[in-house]
Amino acid sequence: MFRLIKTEWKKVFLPVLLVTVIMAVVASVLSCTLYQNYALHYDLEAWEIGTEFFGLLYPLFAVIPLCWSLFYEKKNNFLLYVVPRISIRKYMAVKWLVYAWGSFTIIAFPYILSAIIALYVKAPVVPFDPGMPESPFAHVFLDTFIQRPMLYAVVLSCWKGLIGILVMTMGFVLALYCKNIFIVLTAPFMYSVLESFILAILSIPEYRLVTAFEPTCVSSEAVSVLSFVVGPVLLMAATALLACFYARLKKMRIVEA
Amino acid sequence: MVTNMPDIVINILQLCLDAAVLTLCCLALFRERYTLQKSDILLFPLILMSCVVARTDYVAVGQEGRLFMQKGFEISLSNNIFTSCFLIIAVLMLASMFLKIQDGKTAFCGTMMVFSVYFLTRFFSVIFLTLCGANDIVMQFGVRLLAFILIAVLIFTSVFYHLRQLIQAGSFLVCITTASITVFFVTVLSLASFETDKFVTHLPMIVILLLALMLIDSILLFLNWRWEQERKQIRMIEQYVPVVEELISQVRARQHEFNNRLLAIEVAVSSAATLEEAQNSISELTKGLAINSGESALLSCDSKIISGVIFGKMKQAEMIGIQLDAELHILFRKTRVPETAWVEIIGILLDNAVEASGKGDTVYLRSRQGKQHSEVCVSNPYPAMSNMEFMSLFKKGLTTKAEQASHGYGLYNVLRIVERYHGKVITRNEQIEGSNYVVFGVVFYNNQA
Repeated sequence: MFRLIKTEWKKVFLPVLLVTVIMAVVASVLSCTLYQNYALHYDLEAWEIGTEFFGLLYPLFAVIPLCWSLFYEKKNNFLLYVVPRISIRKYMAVKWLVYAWGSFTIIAFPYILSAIIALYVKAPVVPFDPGMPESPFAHVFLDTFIQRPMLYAVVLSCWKGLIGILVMTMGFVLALYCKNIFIVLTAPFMYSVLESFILAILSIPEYRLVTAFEPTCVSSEAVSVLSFVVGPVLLMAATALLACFYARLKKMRIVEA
Repeated sequence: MVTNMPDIVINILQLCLDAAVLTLCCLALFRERYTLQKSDILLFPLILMSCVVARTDYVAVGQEGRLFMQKGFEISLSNNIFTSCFLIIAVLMLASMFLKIQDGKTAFCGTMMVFSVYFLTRFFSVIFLTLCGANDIVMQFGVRLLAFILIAVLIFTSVFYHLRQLIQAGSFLVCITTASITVFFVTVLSLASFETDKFVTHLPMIVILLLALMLIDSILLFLNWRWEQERKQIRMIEQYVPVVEELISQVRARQHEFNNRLLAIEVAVSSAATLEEAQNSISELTKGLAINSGESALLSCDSKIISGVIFGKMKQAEMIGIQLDAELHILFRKTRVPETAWVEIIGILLDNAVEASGKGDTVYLRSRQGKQHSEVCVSNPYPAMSNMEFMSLFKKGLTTKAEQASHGYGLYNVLRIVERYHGKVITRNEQIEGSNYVVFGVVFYNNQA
């Protein structure tokens, strides 16, 4: 089992490392530069501004470096040679575990690293003084954000990593059944955009997946516990529906001789 | 939700025009006129939907009652990188799912080309209208209408044909060149915060950069074309040279027979009592000794690839009882038409002639070289045809064969090659041994550039 995990990890190690490093560098640089045009109160706000861009494109980063490998293993009939050696369920479970760790790494590590740089490396933010009375500062999890910013950043980054795993799972299911690589690699991103569009039209933007990923994209009053639950649950339901559609309705098999 | 009705109507009209331009680009690049299907029109609502998603104001909707974003849509369909990525991916998915473009590289190159053409037409429309002093509503609708008209006009030229050829090649260099213009525009627009005013302010620099990019793209595409030709030539050498080697080995195999016959002739001459007896013996011994005239023509041909093609076709024709008589009097490698083009032309003409002939028929391949021209003609027995009938066969998709779907491209391709090298197509009826033969051929002039 351990050897299998090691073998599978070797297959995706390089793309995961490459994307993680690139994302970490870009996020760190943006966290140290973009904030200068904004009137801020706290250092961690610079991190939020610098990583805003990834909040929109993360489904691509979580899926593309990993799921292409599974797609080609299926397309090139590699899975046919796996079946006599190990049960396909076990193989897929191991693969999912490795991919889950990969997507978590890609999403969480760059966020954590850029938060460390925003908090301890870059020049401290000089709190903005408007010279007139202003409305009190509001933020999601305000106390933790102000008093223990590192804890806030690490916990939120890990949470984002978990959402990355869910998004990757959708790509994983598609790679098992779908024959079009563009659909496999971009469908989770399209889902994220369309879900965001539909929920915004329905005037419930606080339940979007993107809100669960980046709770600061809506006003802090609108964010509730459900904001962190509805989006991921909808995504899991959509993934389960996809799996049922292919496996039960279309009666497609993972390994086709 | 309270919305400003005139604004929303204007926005929807703009979105419809945007979607129409993008749909037109998609169909012009992914479909040919004769492959268009009625269901393709459904692409328009799907693209319209994508445009609506890209333009929806997620922040304002539900708060300020505004549905669509207003600014930054003069050149692009979106006003940020995120929705630009969304639109590109949406068109990519629609091309591969809805238009059923199976090959990944073709779908990618095609999508990038769609956006490159789209951006270029919008860019030129913006320049034109800016020079005319248009602003606000005139600019917003004028840009879209002008882009639509430009693309509609381009459809009636051969531009999209050449672009289709390019994306079908789908090599790595083509992927880069097709994507470069889209990436350039998205980058420049994002640097200008998708604001037309900022964009227009830096217009001279953008034009210079765009021209430089297009020059680099042209050089890359030329290199790609050269490498493609070289690859084609190598493929042909690999395919046809072994066939010629087979012909040579057949002739060599007869060497032994020639030696024996020569020995027999020597003995016959030395043992003959009279001159008459010697002559009779020699004529008896030389019967069937000569090499087939077609085969000797192939051996004397300067291009091994062309010899290989003709020899291969000869053997195919022999198998179905058709004789192929070849006379080659051209130094193919000395003409300005590349060997690959000759191979394509001769292959198509011979295939057509053999397919149109019956068992026992003879197909003639004749080639001549004058001071000014090189000519190749293939004739096969067939009822006489009028000039109009001959000409109609060169149209794409037209064929006299029963199985229409997979035929109708050969003579069309011959015509394209002939046009490329400024040659002419030859068609006529000919009487050979009392039967009518139809002749299809090509002539290329040596002194043209």
